[in-house]
Amino acid sequence: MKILIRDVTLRYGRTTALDRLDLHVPEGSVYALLGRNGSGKSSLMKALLGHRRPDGGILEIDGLDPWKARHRLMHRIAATPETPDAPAAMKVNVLGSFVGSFHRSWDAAGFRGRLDRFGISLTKPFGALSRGQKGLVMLSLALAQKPELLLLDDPTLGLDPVARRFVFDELIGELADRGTTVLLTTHDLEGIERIATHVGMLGKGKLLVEGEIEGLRESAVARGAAAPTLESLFFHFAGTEGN
Amino acid sequence: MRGFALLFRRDLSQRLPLFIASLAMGLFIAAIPLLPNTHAASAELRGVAALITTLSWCSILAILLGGSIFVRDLTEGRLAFDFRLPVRPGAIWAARIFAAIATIALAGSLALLLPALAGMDFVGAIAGFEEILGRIAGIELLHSSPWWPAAVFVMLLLANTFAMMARCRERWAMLDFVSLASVVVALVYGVQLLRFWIALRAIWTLLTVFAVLFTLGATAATLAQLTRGRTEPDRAQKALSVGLFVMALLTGAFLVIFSNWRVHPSVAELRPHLTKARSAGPDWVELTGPTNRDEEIWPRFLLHPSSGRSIQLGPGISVAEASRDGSTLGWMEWDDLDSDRTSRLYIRSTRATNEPALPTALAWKVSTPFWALSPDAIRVATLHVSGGPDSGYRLLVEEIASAALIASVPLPGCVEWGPLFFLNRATVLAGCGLRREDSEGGRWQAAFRVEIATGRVTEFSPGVWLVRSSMAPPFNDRQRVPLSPWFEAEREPDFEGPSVAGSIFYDSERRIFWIDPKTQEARPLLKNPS
Repeated sequence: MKILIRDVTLRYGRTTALDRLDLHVPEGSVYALLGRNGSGKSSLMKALLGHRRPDGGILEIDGLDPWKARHRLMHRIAATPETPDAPAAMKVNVLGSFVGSFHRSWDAAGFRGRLDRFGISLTKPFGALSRGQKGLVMLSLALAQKPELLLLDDPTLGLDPVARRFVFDELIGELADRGTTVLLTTHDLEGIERIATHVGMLGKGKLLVEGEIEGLRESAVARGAAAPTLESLFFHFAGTEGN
Repeated sequence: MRGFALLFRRDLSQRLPLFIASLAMGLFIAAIPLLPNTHAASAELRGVAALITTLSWCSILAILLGGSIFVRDLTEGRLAFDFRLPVRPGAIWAARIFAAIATIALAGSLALLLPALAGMDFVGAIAGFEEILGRIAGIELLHSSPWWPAAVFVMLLLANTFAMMARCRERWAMLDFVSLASVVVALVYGVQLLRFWIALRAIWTLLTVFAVLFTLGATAATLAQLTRGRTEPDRAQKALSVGLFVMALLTGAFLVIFSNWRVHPSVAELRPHLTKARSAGPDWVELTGPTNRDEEIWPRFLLHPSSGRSIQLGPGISVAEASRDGSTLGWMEWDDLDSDRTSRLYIRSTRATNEPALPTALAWKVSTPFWALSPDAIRVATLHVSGGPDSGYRLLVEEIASAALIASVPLPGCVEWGPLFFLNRATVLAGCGLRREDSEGGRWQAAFRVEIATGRVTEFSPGVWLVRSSMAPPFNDRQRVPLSPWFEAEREPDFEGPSVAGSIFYDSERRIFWIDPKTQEARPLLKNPS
């Protein structure tokens, strides 16, 4: 799916969360959006999901405005929030059936299979799960929709190392199977390095740098950076940016 | 529609514990007559208990659900879950609202189920509660029960608003306070204005339209809250506040405009064949009667026929009076809303076209429509109940400018009021009804006499005229229209005056005449009117 983010501005009162942001997310890429806390990553996710209308600029997914055509786009987009937010009283299997009833391409077997691999009981209420388990359920719900675009807002936040590995393994499997476009925000630089093809770094709502990881590495080396890891790239480009 | 149905079913299925609690309540109500020391009939007792419990339970649910269906998920960040589903915002809103309504309705029904099976007098309980509500509200609420579900729905909407204020804590919440306070002020203003004019049917119309407007407006505001604000508390609060403000503006404007429109018709709207006309001096005519706007309100107008200019008088039961030269008009208007209303005297000069009517310092708790203005517009005579219902009236003569009491003349035995006339600046003619037992036809009848009461304080002398009548009190009880009390009056042999008077009236020069019923001729009441 084509994502067009041009000159996008988004404000919370007097605070500018996104300041005339331009972003280029190629189709089929795994785009890692990096930045310090408050750099505007989650605000961009909200705008892409049609939860908040930008105050200026153009934001389109496949030519559609997410604010106006959110319900149409959500047939093709799946997303996980920063904080798991499914109804607490719903059992995991009921939750799966509920979300699945909205999507024709729902992969019920895939949903159960992932939860089985994660070792999460289907009969437990969502609210009774641990923070990490909730995150994995949310990811399973998103992947079972077989989306064309996957928006993941810090999917590994609060997860233990094993769960983090699960997340990235599932994503790699999904990408290998279907070639979904993925836009994700994360602070897990080591984990994302395994799957990301493109990186964008935000600071104070502005794009500091973006491009293919390899290109950024070469650019950093040319500027004299020592180790071309994603972490060193992050510190190189965004590390000194305050919020 | 499919999205709506799925969300609706989810919300309803999550409230299963509430439905079980409702059934348990019903079981308790059904078993109440089995408790010791319960003396009332079982069905009656169950009916009252079921009504109180159901209304309370539904109200509590409305407040709890209203405070949570949108706001809790919004502030705790869980509303985004629904917004990641391929469902329109309107469907999310409708599913949550209708699920809340269905929850309340179903919970209420389940609470009534077992008492109904056990046998209860629910209809009787409703009628009793309607009466109690009416007493509390001070108006008749005999058929208010169909509005109770609407009231519960309004509670739900208000709970949402207050929960938004409390949990979002945005500056926009101040606008909510302003909006809701404005609506309350406009409602109180409208109801009080209509109560002042005793326009009870108009109050019902006002309350009905207000309820519809308020409910629709507040509902639309919650729709805006969800569809415009979506998952963002600051935007949701702003959308709600703006929606409520628009609702308050429209509702408030309606309340003010409607109540004023209802009580201020133009003189041209008086129904011609039902309008009562009465001379108010040489140049003015007092008109009163029903209009198509509101048959309950009989607006009073002073009409200047030669220019077509008219002045609407405030509400009151007195008639307008003019000075002998017609330069001054006086009338009374109610001052307050008490059941025993105070009437204040207003005076207006007829010479200056735009001169406003001036309230005087004279105000009384009068219950008679008749009073009298002295020919020079300096004094005023009024009749007052002096004590208990059979203790008679007292005639008061006061000076307008100083509010000083000139004379206070007791009229013992005068238990029904009649018209008052100043024969000259020192003498007042007072019409009174004397109640006497009359077994004819098994009915009690009142007799009427005319007294010329003359005070001893200043220039009055104690001569009295009596004209006795055998007709009913000067009220048509159904329409409260004053009738002439002088019809078929008989002369008291001890006093001078007309033997039989058809009516007594002022002519355009303020001379007093009476109609001889035999000849239908108008004759001066006094040989020397000056």
